[in-house]
Formats: sequence, structure tokens, C-alpha cells
Amino acid sequence: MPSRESKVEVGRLVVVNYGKDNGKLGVILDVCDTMTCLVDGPKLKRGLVNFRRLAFTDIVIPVKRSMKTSTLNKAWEAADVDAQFKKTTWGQKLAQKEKRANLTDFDRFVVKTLKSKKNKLIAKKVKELKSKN
Amino acid sequence: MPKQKVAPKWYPTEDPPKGKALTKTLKKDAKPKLRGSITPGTVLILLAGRFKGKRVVFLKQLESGLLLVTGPFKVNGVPLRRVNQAYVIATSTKIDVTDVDTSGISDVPDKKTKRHFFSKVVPETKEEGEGEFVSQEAKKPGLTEERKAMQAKVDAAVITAVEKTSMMKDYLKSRFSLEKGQYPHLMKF
Repeated sequence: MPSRESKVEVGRLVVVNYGKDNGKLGVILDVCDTMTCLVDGPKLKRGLVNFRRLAFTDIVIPVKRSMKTSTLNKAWEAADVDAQFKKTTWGQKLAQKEKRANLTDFDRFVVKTLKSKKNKLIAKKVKELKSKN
Repeated sequence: MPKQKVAPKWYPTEDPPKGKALTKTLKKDAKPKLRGSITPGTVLILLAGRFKGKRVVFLKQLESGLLLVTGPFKVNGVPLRRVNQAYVIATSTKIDVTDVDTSGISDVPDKKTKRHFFSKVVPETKEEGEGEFVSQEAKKPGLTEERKAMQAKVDAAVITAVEKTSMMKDYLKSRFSLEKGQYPHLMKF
């Protein structure tokens, strides 16, 4: 199994998974030592982050080592990173989580009712098919 | 003999307010501030009392500071009622109640009758039957015709607004409850 460290490279897209910036996307711009790297992103504050606080994605973006934040933002938009990430299953799951967290009370009621209706229809159909056999 | 100034026996702990500060302290009849999330038409979740868990429509803040809400009555059994905003969760769901006329409802007691819209109906005392021998047919105080008429009028307008959104009526019919894994401080209403 490839080690986590094999994914550490300049341009690797990462998701911060601990701390104030939890859930945000960033790019590795430089590697400091065996455990830290320089990470920056449009919504992130540029800084050194420990590998343990990062989840590495499969996406690599064409960036130069220690790029300036303003240049990085331009490269980010040029590569359309947000759209790229949203296409992945990971990105879709994160988006779904966010959607569910932002449901209002009415939305929750609608989801519950529609889910129940759907399940009842499925159960009815299954019963029909079972009784046929 | 010159009048000697006697030292007062009692000194106040704080200097009494003067000027602007004084007028501020005199504002004791000011209406309690309404939460920013509560606007006319907001769906509220009642947290205490007989109708706890019910989702109701907020109509307006009365002069006493209490909130005027209605179920509507035909939808979930909550009549035109006063509710304290401390016992309420305001959801972000809003219903258009601009066509609802609640001007006839107030809880400021009338100067002559000392009664207002929500005052309890005083049952008529019967002359026959004293003490334990009170007639069993003593009338129970019900709602006045005024209240029933106002309820019907207000609800008709609210229901037409409610029916504009799909599933909104069913939403108001249901009661709010917490399920496993749901934490109010992490939920968005």
C-alpha cells in the first residue's frame, strides 16, 4: 500500500481535517521537514501544517514551489480546482454533508416525509413480488 | 442661633441617575425587544405548555410583549394564543401574512371594561343553589363569539397563504421532536 508520504508533493490538493480550517481545500506549496508542509488555498490562511492534520487527495495542481497567494489563487481558478474536487466521490460526500447540516426544520420534515413515502412504495412492491413467488 | 447642617444618617450606595440616565430608568413599560429571527409569518416551534412541540404561525407582537400566534386552529388545534418568546424556537421558514388582519386583537385592557381580547370569560353566577347544592347545569364559560369569529377570519387568510407552499400544511400539522443524534445547538432551524 502506498504510504501517505508518497502523496506529499508540491501541487498536491489536500483537505484540512483538523482545527479552525477543518474541511477546507488547500495546496501543498513546499515541504518543510518530515512532518510539516506549507499549505495555502483561497479560503485557507497560508501556513505550515502538520501532515497529521491533512487528508491527501488524488488531485495535483500545476503550481510552482512557494508560490505567492495571489498567483496561487489565479492558478486555482485556471485549473478550476473546486469543480474538479466536486466531481470526485469525496467532494460529493463533503457537499452532501454540508447540505444536510444546513437543512432547515421544514427541509428536515420534507426529507423525512418523502423518504418514508418512498420506502413504503418499495416495501409494497417487494411484498407484491414476494407473494407472487 | 445658626442652623447647623446635620450629617445625613443614610447615604445611597450609588449616585441617583440624573438627566438622560434618569429618563432611561423610567422606561419600565417598554415593550420587550423582539428577537431578530421572529418576523410576522415566521413558523415558530412552541417549547412549553399544552401545545409543546407544535409548529405555529407568528402573527404579531402584542403590546405586552407577548407573541400572538395561531396554529391555524383547523390545521393543528392551536387557537389564537399568546406566547412568550422565551419559550419558542424561531425557524427560518416564513409564510406571507401581509393579507392577514390582526388589528382587532390587543391585550391592552380596555379602560372601561378592564378586559381585553384574551381576558377569561367570567361565568354568570346563578342565584339558586348555594354551596354544595349548585345546579349541575351551571354553564361552563366558553369562548366568546368575538373570539370565534376572529379565529375564523384570521385562520382563513393564514390557511390560504399556507396552502401556497407544498407540504407546508402537513409540516404545521406535525409536532417537533428530537431524534437520536440530533442536538439542538448543532441544528439549523
